[in-house]
Amino acid sequence: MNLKDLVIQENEFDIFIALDPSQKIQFVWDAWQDGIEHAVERQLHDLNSGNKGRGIALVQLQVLRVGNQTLNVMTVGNIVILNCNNLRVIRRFIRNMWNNGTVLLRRPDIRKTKAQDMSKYFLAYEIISHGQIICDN
Amino acid sequence: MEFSSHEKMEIQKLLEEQDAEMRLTKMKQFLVSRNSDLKYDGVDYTYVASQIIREYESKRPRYTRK
Repeated sequence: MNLKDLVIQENEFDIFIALDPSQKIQFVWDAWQDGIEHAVERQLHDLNSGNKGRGIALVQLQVLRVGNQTLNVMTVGNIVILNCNNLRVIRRFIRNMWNNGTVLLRRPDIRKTKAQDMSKYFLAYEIISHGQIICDN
Repeated sequence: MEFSSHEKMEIQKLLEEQDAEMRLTKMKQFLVSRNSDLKYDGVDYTYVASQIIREYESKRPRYTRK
């Protein structure tokens, strides 16, 4: 593949942007030589084996529309960060996660960054484990 | 970012490589030889690495709702 034709797509870009400069060079090199899939596999392998995971975490951002409200859900490793102008929407989302069997622990030490987290309410939770689906009945 | 004259010279040598593929290859070779450490002989190659990866970072894909 020609290097100038290399395009990093949406899902791979989420991983690419979370890497440090030396890992990014490795990623681009692997993508150029063996393809993007191989580059992603290698970085995930390094992350899982703990060889080079120097503080990198996979970041995933989802923007959900709930009625006329926007809920930003960011996952960084096992931390879930919820950002919304309506607290009720956040609570409903958390209750839904609980009912789906995700055990969560509130992380009040993770604070809002004013420049980036524009919404009024900001709650962070740590995923402790996954269990059985809970039925209210 | 301020560099010493020695740093500037070393960084310039890598950046002067016009061929992007050759530049990436040299940087990759450097990283392999330094076990992914971007600092060597008083020169911080983080700047060079960021210059190389900048064009890929700038091609942020258009995100689609899933």
